[in-house]
Amino acid sequence: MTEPDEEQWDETEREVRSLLEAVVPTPGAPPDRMAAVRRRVRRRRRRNAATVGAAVIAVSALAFVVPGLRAEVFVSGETPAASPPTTLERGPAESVRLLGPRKGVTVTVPQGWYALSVDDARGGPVAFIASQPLSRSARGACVSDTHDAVRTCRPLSQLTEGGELIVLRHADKSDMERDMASSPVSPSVDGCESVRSKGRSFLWKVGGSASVAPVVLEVSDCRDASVTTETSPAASKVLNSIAPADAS
Amino acid sequence: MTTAGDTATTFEEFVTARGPRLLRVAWLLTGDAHLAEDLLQTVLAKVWSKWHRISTENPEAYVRKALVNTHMSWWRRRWRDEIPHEPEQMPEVTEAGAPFDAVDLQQSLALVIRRLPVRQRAVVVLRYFEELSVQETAQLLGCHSGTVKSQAAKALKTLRAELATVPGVWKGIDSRDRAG
Repeated sequence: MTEPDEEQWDETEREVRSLLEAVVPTPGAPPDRMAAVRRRVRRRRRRNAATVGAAVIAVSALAFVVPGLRAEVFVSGETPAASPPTTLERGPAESVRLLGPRKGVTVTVPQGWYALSVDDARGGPVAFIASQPLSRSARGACVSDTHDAVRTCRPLSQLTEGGELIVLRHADKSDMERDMASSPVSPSVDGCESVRSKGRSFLWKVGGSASVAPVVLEVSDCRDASVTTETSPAASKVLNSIAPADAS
Repeated sequence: MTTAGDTATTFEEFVTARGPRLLRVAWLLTGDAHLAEDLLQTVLAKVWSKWHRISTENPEAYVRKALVNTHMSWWRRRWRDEIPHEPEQMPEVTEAGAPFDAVDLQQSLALVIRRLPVRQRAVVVLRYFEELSVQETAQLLGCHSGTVKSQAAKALKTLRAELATVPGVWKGIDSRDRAG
């Protein structure tokens, strides 16, 4: 390309810019634009809710038709028949075990709560403990995005009023090397927003001594917006029940 | 910590302040004032629920990207078959020096813009109206810089050819043809 070509090209671009700036009209904003946007937001929400409802009905219907799928949704205290391999084991007395690469932990599930686990793309377990029924991700596995377990796994679409969801996974090596005093992983949790709730993430250290390294978990605590306390009694019970366990 | 009320106020302030510019972007994408308002409201409704997250970053860039992507999805879904006819209402060539009505010029530009393929249209809007660099445009459209350059060259060639007969549009590039 020759230099005159470049000059002509630059001139063309300049003139197009001038033309657009001069010719593109500035339409007046309708006085009720915000009201119109609000109406659209309401319509979108209604549409999304209807879509989710239809999907739930379809999945429920499918679960009846295909018996093997019934194990995809199970509740605390039930034994899921023919469930896929999972690293979350259900122990006696409403406790579950979350097994890590070297060490695991046991967690007590509050009476009437539900538990579910999935494997993320790295093969690591993610445990969901919630005050309402949970369902396995349709895709069957979560992506290995450390802080977005809820968003990527979606064990539920929306927390019910007063509902709570706790997500446990083993912390990344990088997280474990961080100063444990700075416990919050992130100030807000995108995943919680995906289930229409608020929440927080933090690291939780279990056990450990001068000679034994602690087990470090990343905990996401998602709560329905109506829950005003920082940590609910049930969530405190879950966190305080976490105890080291052998992975074997 | 912001409350829902604060967030709504901030969003409303953004719409009030940046709405006119975003509406012009939408007009250039659609070539139609009513569709432009529809496109902008659609995007604002999508953005509202995420406002608390994007407001701390670069909300205008986010909305601009949403405008382009939403327009492309509209085009793919609804208007694939809609190709503007030969413009009967296209202003006839006027004699040199004759006054040219600005509204006619807008109509001419709208017709030409709507005849551009949707990706070329997006490139024109982003490169020459929003003044983004080639790299920024490529990033927003999710393509290579070379694609942006070639799309821009094709779009400019079309614009120049289509609008060449409109007096007063081009100041000094009547017969040049770089891209050919």
